[in-house]
Amino acid sequence: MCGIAAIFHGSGSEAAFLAEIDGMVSRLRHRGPDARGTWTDAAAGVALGHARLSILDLSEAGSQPMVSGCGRWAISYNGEVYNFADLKKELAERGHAFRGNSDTEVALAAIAEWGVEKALGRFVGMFAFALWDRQERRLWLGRDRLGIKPLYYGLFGGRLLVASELKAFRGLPGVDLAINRDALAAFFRHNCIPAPHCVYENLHKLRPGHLLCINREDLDNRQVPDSRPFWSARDAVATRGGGVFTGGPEQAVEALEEVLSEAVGCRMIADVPLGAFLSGGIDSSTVAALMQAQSGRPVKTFSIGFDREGYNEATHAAAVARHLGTEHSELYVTEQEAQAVIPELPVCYDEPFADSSQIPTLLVSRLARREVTVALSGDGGDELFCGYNRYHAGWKAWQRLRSLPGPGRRLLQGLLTSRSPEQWDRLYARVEPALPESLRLRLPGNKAHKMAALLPLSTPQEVYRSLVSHWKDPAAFVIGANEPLTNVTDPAMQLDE
Amino acid sequence: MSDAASFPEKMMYLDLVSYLPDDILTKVDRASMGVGLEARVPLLDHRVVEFAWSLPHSLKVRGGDSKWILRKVLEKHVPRHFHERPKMGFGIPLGEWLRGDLRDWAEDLLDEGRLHREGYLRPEPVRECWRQHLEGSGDYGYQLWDVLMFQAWLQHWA
Repeated sequence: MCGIAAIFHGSGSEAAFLAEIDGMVSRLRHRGPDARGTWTDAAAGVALGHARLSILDLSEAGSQPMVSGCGRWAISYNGEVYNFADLKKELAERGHAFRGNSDTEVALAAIAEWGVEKALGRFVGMFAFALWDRQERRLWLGRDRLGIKPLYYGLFGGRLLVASELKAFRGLPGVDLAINRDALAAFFRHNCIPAPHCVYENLHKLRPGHLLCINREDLDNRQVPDSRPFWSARDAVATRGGGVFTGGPEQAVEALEEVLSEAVGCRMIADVPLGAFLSGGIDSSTVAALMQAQSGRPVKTFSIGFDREGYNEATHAAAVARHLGTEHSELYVTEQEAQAVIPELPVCYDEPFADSSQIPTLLVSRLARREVTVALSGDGGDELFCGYNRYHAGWKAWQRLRSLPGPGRRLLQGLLTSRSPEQWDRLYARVEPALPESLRLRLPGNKAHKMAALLPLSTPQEVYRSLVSHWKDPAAFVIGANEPLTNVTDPAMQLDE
Repeated sequence: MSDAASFPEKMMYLDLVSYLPDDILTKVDRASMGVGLEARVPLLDHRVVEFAWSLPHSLKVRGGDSKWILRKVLEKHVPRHFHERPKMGFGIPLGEWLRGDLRDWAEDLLDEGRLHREGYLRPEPVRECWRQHLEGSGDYGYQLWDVLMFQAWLQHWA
């Protein structure tokens, strides 16, 4: 839920300051159409803004920005802390009093009780926030462990500006948004701009699982301190999630179902209608199944159908929905209706973004919004449980190629690239009729060149990068660009060999 | 690491710290929040993430099945024949659209003079890609979509 913004340090009249933060938030109202709030401490030079999508505690007691009961902390926060009821109980036992029933209030009390970093360690959920500490006079920014909720920040003329989306930064006095060509090079490789980079100079995305703390002295020195992790995916992977599972396959399936049921169950708490996206694939079907198993009523599920063979998942989704007994809505769209979304994309994706499944994602979101305010999605299943073909195909191809001796590899590489993909395709077209069905290929020329590109690579990162790259040499393609380090290339981010 | 990460696990790790937050989660956040809908992602509960990484890889890929353990959980609720189908992805026939309905729109955004004037991208590789795609001698739907989304973004915001 919600869009957030913050300014630190602002000067001038309080009225002008309020107008400025209000302007930022008003440009985020699509993220939070239900209410708009601002909070300033003009003497300290800090302003917080919030556009609210009401999900929990729809009353005024849940509105933001919110100040903690003790008065020390003020927060503008986007997200959900799903275990707020447990935390609330624990905090109440420690003497905290609560006015309402929002997770925001619980998050603030947790921060007041345990401090920022320890509190975040207790949160199960997704969030991005700007938090003002009135006692120490410093501003904290935080983003959830996996990077579900967005947060951008940047220094402009000694002022730190913070917001959920880039549109909020537009039109502010003293903010000149110049395009960062290096970030564009990363965009043409990855079809998106990886954190911490941003399409504009001076702006950054806060990294997932990171906290940033800034005070007036930093601003006077025109410096933004480095963010630091409160949780790291690298550590989670390197320590095997804290220890290798030692049980057998059957026990593992039981244990996974338990963990997943809990994760799904705690996400079914809302004071507004709730449902799920359902494509009929493994991930979204599992989420819908575990929701239905915990619900006394039919769960609402949503899917988009295309009138095109090979692209239509709706029939699978409908079959799964019928089996589970969900209340299923499907919308069939024509290709023209799907294409009609394209003019909206630059508004919705206000930083260049080019994963074409953004179109069906937008369509299914719009469908779901007709009936619900919250929808559970199955994203993450492929990455966590090994669902992508590139993991297997990349590994196998690499193993086969690496088993060739060096001179053989070079010879093969030379041979594969001695003809253009088109020449390979033409050559292939002549032999194809003689091949059995199982050996027939689509785009054989592209495949030959892809394989040739893998040959000189020696590490999994290099193979990964090659497989995910859209443009192979984007720095030569974007004028005046040097491709920046990303989590794929930064040696500090790699797992120990 | 007590149990060194295998080649596919290293790729899965890179997905977890790049493709997932930068592509997938950005896509879902902007699309859902663009219409005032909150998307929640239970599989990315950090407890699920940590549990998944505690599992040996042999429980994820087993007997030719990818996502074996997840399939097993699903099988308790939905019989196997419902989900035994090739992976489809949430796709659109982009390459074909660019040769058909979207051709004029794309031609306008990929205009050589326009690319020169804007000064961000070298026109030659863009034009070459576009030519080959239209001819059908290559399928550059993804690469062209990158350029088109950047151009459309530039037109809207710059």
